[in-house]
Amino acid sequence: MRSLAARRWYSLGVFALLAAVILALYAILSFSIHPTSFASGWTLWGLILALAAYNVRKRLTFLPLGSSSKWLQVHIYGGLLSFVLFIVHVEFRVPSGAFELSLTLLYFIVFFSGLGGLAISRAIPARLTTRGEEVLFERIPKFTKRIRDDVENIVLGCISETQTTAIPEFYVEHLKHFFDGPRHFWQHLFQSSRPRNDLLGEIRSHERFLNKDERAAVQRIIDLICAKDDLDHQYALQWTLKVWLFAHIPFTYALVIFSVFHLVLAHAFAGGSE
Amino acid sequence: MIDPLQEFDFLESNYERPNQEWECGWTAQGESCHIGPDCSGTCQAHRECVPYKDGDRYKCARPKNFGGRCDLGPRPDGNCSQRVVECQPVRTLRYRRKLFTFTVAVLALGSCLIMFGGSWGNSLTSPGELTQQHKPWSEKCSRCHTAANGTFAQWVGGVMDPKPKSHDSQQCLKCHEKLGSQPLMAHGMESEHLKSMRQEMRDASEPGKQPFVYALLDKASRNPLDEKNGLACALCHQEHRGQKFDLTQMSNVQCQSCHSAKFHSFSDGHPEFDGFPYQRRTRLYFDHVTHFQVHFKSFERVKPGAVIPRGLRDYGNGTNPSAQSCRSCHQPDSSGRMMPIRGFEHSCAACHGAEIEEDALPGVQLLTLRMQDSKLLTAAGATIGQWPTLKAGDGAESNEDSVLPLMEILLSADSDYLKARKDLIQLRKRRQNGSENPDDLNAQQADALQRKAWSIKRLIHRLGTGNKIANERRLNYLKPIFKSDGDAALLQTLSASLFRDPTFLTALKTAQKSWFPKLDQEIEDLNGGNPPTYSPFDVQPAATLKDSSSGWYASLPDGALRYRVTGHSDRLVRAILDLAGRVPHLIDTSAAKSAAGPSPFGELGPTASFRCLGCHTVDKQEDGRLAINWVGRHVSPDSQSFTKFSHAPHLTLLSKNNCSKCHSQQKDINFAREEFVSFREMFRANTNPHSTLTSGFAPISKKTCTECHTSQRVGDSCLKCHNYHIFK
Amino acid sequence: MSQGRSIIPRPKRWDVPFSDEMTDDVVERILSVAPFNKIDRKKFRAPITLEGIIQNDARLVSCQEGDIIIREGDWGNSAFFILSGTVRVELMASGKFLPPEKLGRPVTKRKSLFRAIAQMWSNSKEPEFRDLSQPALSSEVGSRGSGDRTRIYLQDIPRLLDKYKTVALEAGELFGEIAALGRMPRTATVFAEGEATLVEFRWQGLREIFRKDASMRTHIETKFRNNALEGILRNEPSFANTAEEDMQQLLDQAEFNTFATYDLSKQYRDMARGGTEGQLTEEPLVAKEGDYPNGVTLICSGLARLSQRYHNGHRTLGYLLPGQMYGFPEIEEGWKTQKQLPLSMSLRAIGYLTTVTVPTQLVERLVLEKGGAGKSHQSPALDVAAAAQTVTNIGSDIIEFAVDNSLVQGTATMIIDLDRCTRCDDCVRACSNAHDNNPRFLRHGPIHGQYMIANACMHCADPVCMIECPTGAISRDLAGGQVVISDQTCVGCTRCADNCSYDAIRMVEVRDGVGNLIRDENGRLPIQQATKCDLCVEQRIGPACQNACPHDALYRVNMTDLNSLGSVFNR
Repeated sequence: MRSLAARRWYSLGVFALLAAVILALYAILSFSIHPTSFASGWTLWGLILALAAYNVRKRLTFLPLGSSSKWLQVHIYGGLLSFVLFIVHVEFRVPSGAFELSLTLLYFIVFFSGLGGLAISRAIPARLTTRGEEVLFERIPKFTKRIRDDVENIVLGCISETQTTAIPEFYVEHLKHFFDGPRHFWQHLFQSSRPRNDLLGEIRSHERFLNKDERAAVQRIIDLICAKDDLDHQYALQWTLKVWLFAHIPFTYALVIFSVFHLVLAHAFAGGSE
Repeated sequence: MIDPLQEFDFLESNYERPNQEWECGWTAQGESCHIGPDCSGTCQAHRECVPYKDGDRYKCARPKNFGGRCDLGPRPDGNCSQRVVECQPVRTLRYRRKLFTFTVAVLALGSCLIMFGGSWGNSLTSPGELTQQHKPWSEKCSRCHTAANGTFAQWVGGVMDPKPKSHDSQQCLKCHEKLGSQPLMAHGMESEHLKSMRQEMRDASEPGKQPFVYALLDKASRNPLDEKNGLACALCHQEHRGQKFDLTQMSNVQCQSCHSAKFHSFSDGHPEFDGFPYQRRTRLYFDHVTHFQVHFKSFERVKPGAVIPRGLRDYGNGTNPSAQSCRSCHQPDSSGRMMPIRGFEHSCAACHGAEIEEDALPGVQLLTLRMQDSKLLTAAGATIGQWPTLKAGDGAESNEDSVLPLMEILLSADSDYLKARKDLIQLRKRRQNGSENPDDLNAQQADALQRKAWSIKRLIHRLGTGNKIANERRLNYLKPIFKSDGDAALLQTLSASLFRDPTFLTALKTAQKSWFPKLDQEIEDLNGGNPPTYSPFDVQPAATLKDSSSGWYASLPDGALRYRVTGHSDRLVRAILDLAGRVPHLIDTSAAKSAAGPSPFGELGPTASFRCLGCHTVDKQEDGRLAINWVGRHVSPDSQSFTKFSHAPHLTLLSKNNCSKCHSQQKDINFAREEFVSFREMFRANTNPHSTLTSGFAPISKKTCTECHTSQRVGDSCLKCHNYHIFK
Repeated sequence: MSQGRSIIPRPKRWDVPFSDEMTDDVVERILSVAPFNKIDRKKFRAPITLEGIIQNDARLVSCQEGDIIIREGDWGNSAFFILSGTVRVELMASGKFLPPEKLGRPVTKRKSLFRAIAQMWSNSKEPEFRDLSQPALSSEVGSRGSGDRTRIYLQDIPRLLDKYKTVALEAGELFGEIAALGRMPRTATVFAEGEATLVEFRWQGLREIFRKDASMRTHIETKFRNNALEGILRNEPSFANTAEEDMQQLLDQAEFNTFATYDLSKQYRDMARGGTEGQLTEEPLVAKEGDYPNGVTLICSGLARLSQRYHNGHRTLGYLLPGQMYGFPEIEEGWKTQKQLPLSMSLRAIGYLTTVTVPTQLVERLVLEKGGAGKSHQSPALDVAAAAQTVTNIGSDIIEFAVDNSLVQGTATMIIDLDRCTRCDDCVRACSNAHDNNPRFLRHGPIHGQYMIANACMHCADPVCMIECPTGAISRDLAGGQVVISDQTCVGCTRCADNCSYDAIRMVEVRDGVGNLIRDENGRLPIQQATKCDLCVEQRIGPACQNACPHDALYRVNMTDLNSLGSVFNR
């Protein structure tokens, strides 16, 4: 089994080679009187279809079509290659015209969402293991509820046992919102511990108003805040891992549809230059 | 610390099913039930379990892995006491993504259909702004694209169809019509011509210089040459690149993509110029070397009272360097392309004007009588009536059979002469071969010569009677032979100058009285069927009358009717010379095609041969005609050739009008003189336009241009010097 | 909720007897021959009576000449008793084996390409759909026994007997019980010499008899020494070339040991949760670090832990698998230096373990002195940790984690590298697609460092889940050895799920085609069935999960193969 690092170098090498071949072919063909855009366009179109085919491959899990990881490697480096081809296809210009501009825009959405997705896919998993319990995304609401129930039991216990309302008041005022659902998405995405520190700071500043029993309860609440915060962290990162595809996949289909029209239009209106 | 959130135990943790389309509506609240919705999104849960009856008691049937038996247990009626609040199942995240994908795809398809189907699609689907010139048609695709009238289905069919399609270039040609007869062929040339040019180019290119990338290119791309449809305009002229886009820009490599001989750049690999700009000799012979080194230094032979061109005035003493300018004689034309001579009057007349009108030289001959054959005929007993005794002189003793061009034409109206002409030509050939005694005549030839003599006499009589209409009819004989407009003009000039010119009639009558005093009687007798009664050689013509310095006069002692020029560019002389150049062609095509016969110009006298043709060179054309280059190089503004050069921009760039930067004198004075002397004789056979005769300047080498024309300096693009479209 | 066809009787043990041809006469006939006539029937209490066992867990098999009864290498769940006739056992020691094509190895029953593609639309939309209206004894059951499976037979028996070395087994002998009870692959091929009648016992039934009757146990041990031991010894290169008479000495003096008990799953599960130290001390000690070796110990079946004292505790350095040896390096080194060397590591039984120990002086005399030293490749070196480091470069913490959690059992353990996993659930969906739209594992489980051991069946070398299955619904695939559950015979008793200490088996409530839960006809309790990963045994692509992982995060790893383990952990 080739190590991942070796595979990366290998793939980068192949990518660099292909990119060089594309640029060299472009350089050579641009000497020709024929426009290069038809050759580069068809190649790009084929490549985009091949890249989009990864989505189809993912549905056909039960056929021997090669492992998904191999496909992803081809998808990633093919995607990068498509950018080289795209630049060559538009001949280093920004296309004008509404249709072509929207085609370009679609390509950029798909390409950059893919690039971003790749970055996310590589950066976030390691962060997920560093903090909080690894949980299934679908179960986060369940765990949130469990933590909330626990906290509320403690809070209600305060009322019945200590007959004071300090903790319940504090809970309603400062904590209920926090425990109700996923919070602090952006802070977690950018790995800020500010929300947790703020909450804990607030609790600690209230601690002097509490008696001994209440302080014990607060200690348990603090543990639950940390647990909920970790869960939020998991939620924010796992949500991001799932949702970037909302940009990548739908616009791929739009891109393919637009590109078909573009292709037909380009040929019909070439005026014989193809 | 709190306990771990999750249990892995099968009792606590059931399968997650992210591939399902629906999930329990309570999931977001963290309270999803274990039953879940069915595949159509309907909640299936009502109660936690369906209790079962064990004996007479109901027992809880909740499975272990969903909580096990509940504390409350079933109600007495057998129903579960744990009611599940029915939910509205929601779509799973993945299904929502699927839905979003579908929506985006439908929107994309919809917007495409609107763009391509809607009436306002043009502006949206246009790939970019048109250039300023084409802007008016921005909204009308069909002006340039035939496809604009088609349907989308047809376009798709077009993509699928691999056959080459006729392109939209015809639309371009609707406006761009001045591109020659075959505008879509490569360079607007026929393919045969193109092939031969290609071969020339290949032969001229330096071997082994072909750049590597071009070799690759040849392999990688197809030759665009389509002999059937030609090249599409859009191949080179790419529109929709913005208002200021240069539609005619084309890179060197693009040019070379078709050319089989490829090279790096103008300086590296471009073929050396072949005698540029002297691929042909100059039309006017001007010996720059001798003029610069001898004549302009002394001006010994300036016509009295003539004005020396300003620029040349101080040439000799060298005090005024600016006076040495070539621009004294050469000035750019209106387009700035050429530097034509400013004209005879301005440039040459000061010295050479008088030479042309010199009285000492005999004028151009029209009619001439010969002695030798007349004597032969008389000796043989043939009757030719009166015939003057001519002084031995120019042309008088030459062969009888050589007839002046105009005279030949005038004689051709005589049927008697036409009968004899065949024999006369045979005789001429025999004499030219020179193997036999030229004086031996057979009966037939003698008869022919006799007929010719009488024809001449008849012609003089006719012309002398002043029957203008009949005379002009003689010229009409030429009409069917004259084809071009130039020929018709020639005819008019001749007609006007001969028969309407009073000096011509006067001279003719004078000549007739002197040579054939009894001509009227003789013609009358001849027409009456009587034999001639007068004998030859008893008339002794008087000395030449010099009644005018120019125009027609009868040179009586040598039997010639001559015309003395009125000055430079005399129309009649030009016409006579032009006619002379055409005569062999007109009269006898087979003779004309045989190469170097005697020049017809020599017969016309020294003015024509030395004065006119001393400077104006003669080109032998493909059809055998001899064309005299009356004017220097002239380029029609409507024509365009492969190579273009414009003097004007170079004049402003080069310091001090330093023409010699490019035009360097090539020959020393002795060599120039030798060449000039040899050329003096060449007016007879000077039919090769590619002969080496030049103006004395060295051909311009590529090196001259590459000093400045590099990609770093003023540019070396092909289009700087070459045109793609050529047309006449 | 829907009634009618969604209501079936609650499945029970022996609902589906091994064979429905076992009449009382047949049962009596079997019970009348030795050794069954010596068994004390009173030790069996209702409902599991000896008659019941024979009636339900046994069946008669009639063989023609050449019929293959068991094949070497197959995973067998049953043992055979010869009622009449003769069968032949191919001897492994002969060095010449029947070629697989002659044995007619069954082709893995994979889906055809069309059926694989058809899963796109034929997969049920409802979760856990079961078509249980079909008769229970379907092809699934038949193929597990012999049933309607076409029996393969060998041709030209006389010639085969000349060519290959075989031993005859006569009426009254039991065979296949070692593999059946020891949960090992068959060690030899057995075929009928002439017409023969056999009684085939499901191992569950055999186990009941074995448990209750000491004479049977002795019988089996003797059999083991006589039949299997030589094969096991010969398999080890150090002993492979031992001369016949020396081998006889080895066989006679070798000591056969069993550690732990057969039915330990419950205790084992609790023990496994007790942490490393607790687990270590509870594990039966086979040999102790610091003692002088009294012989070379060979692992026959099960797993053993190698540990070393480390400060005040024990550190796990590795594990031994069937076929591996313990103590050889110390003896060899001692023999060379003429000094007695103590054992460098302790050996402990993890769960169930059978070993054979060859005394030291025999090893020295018969192996080392005859130049057999250095040939052993299956014995760990003196410093296992260092060796493991150099071969696989896996940290000892991972090994300890794997051994403690008994993950080393796994032949197809699902390991997810969480530093690469994007939680995209492609693996779960691929699994779903391959199993009629039902996932068969959960993407959660114990985590060590960045590695998660997901709750997916590891297909243990020693599958404890199979031990208590009353119907044999959970069994090894005949061809590939994967542990699979038959929906047709699973009664939903949850014993396998309880026994699995890796949370790899899940109970599901099965549904009919329209999504209603299927309930039994009496109590109206929903029918549950055990489900788990079957390594996509029916699919054309191997484990779909691994194939579907885009980020190289998920691997099915054979933990018994250190090299493949290393290649995954060191990517």
